[in-house]
Amino acid sequence: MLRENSKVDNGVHNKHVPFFIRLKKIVDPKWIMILLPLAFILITTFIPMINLFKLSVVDENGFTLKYLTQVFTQQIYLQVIFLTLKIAFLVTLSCLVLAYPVSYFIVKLKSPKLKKVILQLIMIPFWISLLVRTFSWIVVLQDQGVINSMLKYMGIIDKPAPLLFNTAGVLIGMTHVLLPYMILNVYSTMEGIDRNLVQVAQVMGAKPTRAFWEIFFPLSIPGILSGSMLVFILALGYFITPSLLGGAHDMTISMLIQNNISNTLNWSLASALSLILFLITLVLLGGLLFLMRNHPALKED
Amino acid sequence: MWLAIIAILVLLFILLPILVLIPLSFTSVNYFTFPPIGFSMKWYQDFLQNKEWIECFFRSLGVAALTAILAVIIGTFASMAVTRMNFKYKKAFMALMVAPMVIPVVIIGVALYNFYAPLRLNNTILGLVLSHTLLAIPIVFITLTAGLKGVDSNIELAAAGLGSKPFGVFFKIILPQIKPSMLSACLFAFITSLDEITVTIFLSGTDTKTLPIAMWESLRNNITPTIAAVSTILIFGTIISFLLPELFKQLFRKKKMG
Amino acid sequence: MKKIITGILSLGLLLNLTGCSSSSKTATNAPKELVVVDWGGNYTDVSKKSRYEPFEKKYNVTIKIVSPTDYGKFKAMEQSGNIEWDVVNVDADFAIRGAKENLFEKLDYNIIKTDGVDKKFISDYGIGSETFAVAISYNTKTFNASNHPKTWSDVWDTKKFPGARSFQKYAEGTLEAALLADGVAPDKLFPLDVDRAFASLDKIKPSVKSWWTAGAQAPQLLATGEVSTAAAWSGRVLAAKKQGSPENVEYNQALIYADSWVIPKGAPNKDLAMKFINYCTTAQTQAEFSKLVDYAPTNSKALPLLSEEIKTRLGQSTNSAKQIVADIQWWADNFNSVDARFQKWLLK
Repeated sequence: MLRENSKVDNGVHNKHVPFFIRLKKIVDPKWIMILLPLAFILITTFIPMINLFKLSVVDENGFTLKYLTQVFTQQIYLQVIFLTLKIAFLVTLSCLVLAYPVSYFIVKLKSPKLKKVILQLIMIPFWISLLVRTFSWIVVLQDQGVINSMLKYMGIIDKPAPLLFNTAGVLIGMTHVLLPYMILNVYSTMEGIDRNLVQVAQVMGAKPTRAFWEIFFPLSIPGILSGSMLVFILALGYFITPSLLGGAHDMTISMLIQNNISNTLNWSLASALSLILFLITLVLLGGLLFLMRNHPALKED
Repeated sequence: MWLAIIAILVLLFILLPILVLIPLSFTSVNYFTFPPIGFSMKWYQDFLQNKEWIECFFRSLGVAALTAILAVIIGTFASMAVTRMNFKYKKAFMALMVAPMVIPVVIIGVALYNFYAPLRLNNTILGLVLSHTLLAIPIVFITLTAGLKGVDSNIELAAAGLGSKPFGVFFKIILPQIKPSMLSACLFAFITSLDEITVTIFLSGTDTKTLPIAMWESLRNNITPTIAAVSTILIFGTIISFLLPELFKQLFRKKKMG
Repeated sequence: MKKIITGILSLGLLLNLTGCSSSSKTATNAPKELVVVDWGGNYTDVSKKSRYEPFEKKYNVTIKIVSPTDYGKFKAMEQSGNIEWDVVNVDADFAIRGAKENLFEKLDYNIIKTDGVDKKFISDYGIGSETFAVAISYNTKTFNASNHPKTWSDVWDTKKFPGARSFQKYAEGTLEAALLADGVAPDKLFPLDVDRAFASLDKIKPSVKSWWTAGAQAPQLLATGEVSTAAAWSGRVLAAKKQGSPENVEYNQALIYADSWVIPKGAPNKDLAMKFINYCTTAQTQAEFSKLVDYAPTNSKALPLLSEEIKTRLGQSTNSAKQIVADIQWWADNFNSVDARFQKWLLK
């Protein structure tokens, strides 16, 4: 490819090229393609975040470590962090369990039109505000809600099942919101798996189940990993759904951060908590990148 | 066989809130109970006659449109850079482009709130568009990068060799081939902005109330089925916007053939 | 073809948006503007009729309403130096807490006349605007007029009055209810015995299905019967009742809190803000307000202007059940420590 040679012959550093031509290379429109997005993200995202994290060690009285120590030593905060991770993990798991069969089903469909329709159906909830989706779950899960009424009608239970204002409600609500992300990730990986491989295995005598587990499934793992990581990280950041659907016990870091910003006005504490959340996210991402280091998506072409 | 059943159940799970919401918008009482009591269009009336709701509605559409444009421009630059150029630290660049999606939203909301305050960007359309754009860029970037990778760059080289300037190459060769990705990217950015609530809660004010904010306030102040009516309108608007391109295609096809 | 259409549409939207924002700024000959921040929803609607519109007419001013009151934004404004609000309606305890954080202007009591207003509602930086009650509320399909919880002890009695409970996710009001339920005499309530309050809360905790955070949640929970009894803001429950929800309020042992008007430090229209607060404190205005919504006036001179029927509805007539006014100063002094303990208690 022509482009690869430019690595060696980068006109900017080549001393034999006159200065003005070298200058032209730097302000070459091509570099704007890199600089513009870079500048945008750095200015709009990273600088504000650094500003925010500064607050965690600085308050009206100057530099202090008390907020960070508070977060690491007081039991209530450790409890909240643990709960946040637990909820995120359970949501990721349920998303995966639900997404895998659906993705497989769509992949196996013969008609591309039907595939398109189903994928669009899955995307429809995206168009409804997160708030309203969450609120609809209140209507569905409450004691006189849809589910309890149906279960009662079918004679399965006498007393309404507590599906709301507790962890179950939070899990159901968050799984519902994050499921499309998981489906899209898993499905797109599955769609890229060469089905001939499975066919070949079967031709060579493998039973369908074995062909699936030993050929198809391992190839779908990158999708599982990337989808899970995405869902997990997104789950860490939500506060509206847990606060509307959860009970007193269900306090996530994000809820605590929001509370400290808007109610107790303890911005330094909010910042310290945000820093912790951010560090957890980085660790997870690092883990994912390590696991996926051989994935083609991460390789440059 | 079992697979189909499971798949259908999961689909039902995904669509359940919608199926509940639509009948709920026609309830005649002012609280949410299912099945709805009575039938009434008054919540639709409430929305359509309420100047504030309508203002928020169009404001949201406007902000979403601006966001989509800005995010797609920036995202295209970034994707083109990643798929057509060689430079050091490409992986770091890609990570930065995707970063806003993986940083917990609440942190972004608080950080921007804090950052915008002295800049007086809070409660401005510009502030909202900038923040929505940065939230939309990751998904635009991912979509376009995947799309561009599938395009054979030899054709561009051929065109350039034949004398086409870079812009020409882009608009005449690349763009037509990535149309589906471009459209998806646009749509994703639009939805991201339209539905954005977490960061917007922090950054909006009286002059910049978006539709999600109006719904959030309604949930906190006075829960009425109006929000169900608004959501139903949005759902049908979405379905129609999905179907319109299909309809146009059918019409054009018939014209060509007949 | 599609591209052209989308291009035109987006241009149109762009123009619309920029048009919107610029038109609101080119109002040079328009009357003066006062930015008032309140709680939104029904509160704003009622305030418009009884306070804002009459004030606008009298002083030739346009009032811009911002809602709901957001303490986080308040602080951000003060920190950035960009004060956009002139008058803000806040919780009474925030009126004192916020003063400690240097967020408010001192009120000029030469402009704001306070005769008739109870001293408990007046402070250097804030003045009570109306009182609201955290009252026992119940679902009328489960309990009726004769048989429903009439005291907080009744609310704690889940055998006699079965069903789930809901309280505000807030220490204020909840601790007082817990102490009253435990048998503390109303006049011996403050200073609160915090340990005893939490012990009492432990008893009811298993029955509390939902800890509401937004005013509108409690009426919704009561309407569907999700909870049978709740500690809720009387105004909200009664507004829902007016619209047909099956719920009602019991004023006995209701806890009275006040909302307050404060002026952010550095507000652009400070003097006009003072005039506004004065206007809202007059007996006439307060009476008009209380006629439209179930919040009682802080100015006792407004009471004679109200009919007996309204007074009963507000729980202010002589036949009314006993209500207890909360000690705002105690809460202002102790809020931070008690709230921290409350948040921990919730997680247990």
